[in-house]
Amino acid sequence: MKKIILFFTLLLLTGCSDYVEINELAVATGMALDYKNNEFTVTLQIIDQQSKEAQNKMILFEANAESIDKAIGKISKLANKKIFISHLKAIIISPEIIEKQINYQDYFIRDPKSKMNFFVYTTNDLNPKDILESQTNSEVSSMYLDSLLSFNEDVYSSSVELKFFNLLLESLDQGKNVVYPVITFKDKEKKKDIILENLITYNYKNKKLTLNEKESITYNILTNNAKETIIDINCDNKKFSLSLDDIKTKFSWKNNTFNIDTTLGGSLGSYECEKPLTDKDAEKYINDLAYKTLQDNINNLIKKAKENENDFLGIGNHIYKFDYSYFNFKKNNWDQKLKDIDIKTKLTLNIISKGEARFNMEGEKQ
Amino acid sequence: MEIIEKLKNNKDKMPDLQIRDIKYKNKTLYVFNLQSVSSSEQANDFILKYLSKKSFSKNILNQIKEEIYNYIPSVSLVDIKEDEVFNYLFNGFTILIYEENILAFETKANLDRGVTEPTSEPTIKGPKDSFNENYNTNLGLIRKRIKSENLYVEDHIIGTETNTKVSLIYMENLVDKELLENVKIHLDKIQTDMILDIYYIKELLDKENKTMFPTVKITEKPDLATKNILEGKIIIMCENSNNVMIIPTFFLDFFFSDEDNFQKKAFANFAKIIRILAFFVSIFAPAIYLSLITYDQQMLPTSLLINFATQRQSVPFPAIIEAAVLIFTFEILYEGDALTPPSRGTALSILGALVLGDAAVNAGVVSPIMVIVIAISAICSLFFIYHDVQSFFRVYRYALMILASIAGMIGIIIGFVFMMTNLCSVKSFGKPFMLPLSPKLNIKNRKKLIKKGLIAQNTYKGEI
Repeated sequence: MKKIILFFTLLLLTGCSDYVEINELAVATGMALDYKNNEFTVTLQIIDQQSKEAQNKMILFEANAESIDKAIGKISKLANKKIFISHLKAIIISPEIIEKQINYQDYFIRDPKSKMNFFVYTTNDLNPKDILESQTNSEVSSMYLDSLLSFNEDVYSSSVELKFFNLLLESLDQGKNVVYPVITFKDKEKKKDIILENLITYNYKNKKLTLNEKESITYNILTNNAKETIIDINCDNKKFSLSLDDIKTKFSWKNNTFNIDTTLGGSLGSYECEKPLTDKDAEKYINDLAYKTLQDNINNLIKKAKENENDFLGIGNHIYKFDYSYFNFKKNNWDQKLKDIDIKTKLTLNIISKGEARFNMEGEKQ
Repeated sequence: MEIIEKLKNNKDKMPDLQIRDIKYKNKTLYVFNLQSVSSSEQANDFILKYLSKKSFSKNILNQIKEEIYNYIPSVSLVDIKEDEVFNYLFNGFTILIYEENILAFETKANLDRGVTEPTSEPTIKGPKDSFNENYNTNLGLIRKRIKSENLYVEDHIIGTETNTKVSLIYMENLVDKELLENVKIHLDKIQTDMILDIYYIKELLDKENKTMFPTVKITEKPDLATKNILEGKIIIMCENSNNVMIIPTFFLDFFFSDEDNFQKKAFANFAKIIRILAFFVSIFAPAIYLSLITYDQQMLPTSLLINFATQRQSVPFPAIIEAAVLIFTFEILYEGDALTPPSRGTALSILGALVLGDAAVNAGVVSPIMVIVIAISAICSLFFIYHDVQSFFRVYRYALMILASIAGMIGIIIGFVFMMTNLCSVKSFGKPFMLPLSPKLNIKNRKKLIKKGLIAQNTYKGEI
């Protein structure tokens, strides 16, 4: 009997210290960070719990302070509730923070309630606060911001899903520069719908490099981030389209040459060329054209990386892992050395199916 | 003889005592029986008719004992002494006394209701007979299923005032001898004045274990009892009781039902998995909900968190008090349903639906999600028909809720560890309780036993 009483009194003495009712919490789902005049400007998007409509409404709060922690404290003073960061979905960073290499990550690593699985976006020339503002007035909330990237990766593969934890790992890794996804408005004056634009990287001199859409898709193909994409290929003034899936790339470093092997599987989307599909060498024709286009894309991307002294593909990272003594990554800059590396590419393309029809309209007319 | 005088004096206190004296010339033959316990038809038919027809002569009177022995058509005839007269009278025997010879005939009255359907253990496909309060009928229902010489029955008489017959039934070639000795020692230790039902024996045998979970199983169906006998277990049968006790039972026995034998194996296994899930859901559901709301909000997805928050806006109490109110009303409904006669059941169910339903939510006393969680927990606990398991559920449900409201998820884990160690440390008559799960033993015949199919449930046939 005494043991039970002792047990219960122990429990009463230990627990109950972090008891929080749900209604006392302000759940933050989106954040925008900016840095001006030695001060952080933090904008938080918080869900309104008292609205009785079908979609929950959002409220924006903003505060300035020298550290992120203090700014969030000021916001909780404004909102009269304790701010709860565990459900943060995405943060939007202005490009100044990356260029000036300001340390904003420490708050998210150290806080016990933060889970480091939110997405990180940047903007090109916009104020990050505007993007969050456009969301609050519309019916769509910032919980939409995290599904933007996952849809993109599944369907179109023109952007990169960057989680905070992976950003930390990549920025501490040797031989790879971090690639950020960019978010903008469709119509810059009306400031309404948001879309994902292309990718941005910075090299060791903090020089900015943007990749356009074709290059972003090739980047995703080379780094095993792409699940499905569509490419258009020219054939004598007309075009046909291939949808690619089952994409795999392998890097290997042997005898001081770097080899990139990619295998792709594809199927015909639409075919408008004049060559009839029922010919004997139609398959070879399609294969050759597609092969040439893809090979050109890959070679142009590598050439761009070498010219701009920016290793965003992870070539240095692979060498660092498999041949540690080849180059001293910690003392010298790898980006300058990239020009001297001999890179060879190899491509295998399997076109699996031609779709539902075995013939094409142009070919039938002939 | 003294016994005749004693019986005649007792006529005031036992008004159902019938005395009949038949005179043959100088000597009298006395016939006694108790009207309430013995059937007078049998006494009349077999004994008095015979005695009235026969014409007695002098020679035969001297040998009347042998006459009666050889010629009266009754199978059960016992030659008894003066001390045992009352015992046999109360058991329904008719007593014949003539000149220092005392004979007892069995003429028991049929005071029972016959073999009916089981009321507390419903069956869909299997046989639908159940035990009733007559000892011989019960033994007959077992004997007709096991027609073997190896079925042994041992009698004990327990209870100083009630003198009830308690018997052990087992198969000689399958049972474990140590277990048998253990049970006999336990039975002999019982000293009480009344044993009215098998539940009295159960309480006296079950005292050693310090757990809420029952360690003996009580059943009403003879096919379940015979199945357990053939697996090497012992059955205790008590007079005047329509239930029978199975020793030893293991934890997994409460999850298996004998309906599984009449279905395909795949469906039966699926049903067993669902029962085990229901066990855990019923105990842990309210506690996990409480800890998610108050301490560990990070574990919920965001949209669910917002739904809960908007629902809890209108409720003034903290979560633990809301849960306590709802569980209290549920327990009242449950107890009331068991005790009210069926004529008043409908009013109770209507009122119960009001409290646990929409009206309470609209009044702003409870939130709808709490009603759902408590209802799921209650439904899952109703799976288990055996009444003692319900007390286990109740204790641990409340204990885990209190732990969750004090320490969150860590409290729940502490409660879970405590519960599991408690269950694993229990021994039911010398064998570990969680037998197929907890101690892993190397048994040579294990594969053979599993291959036999029907025997695979949880038994090791006394070879441990």
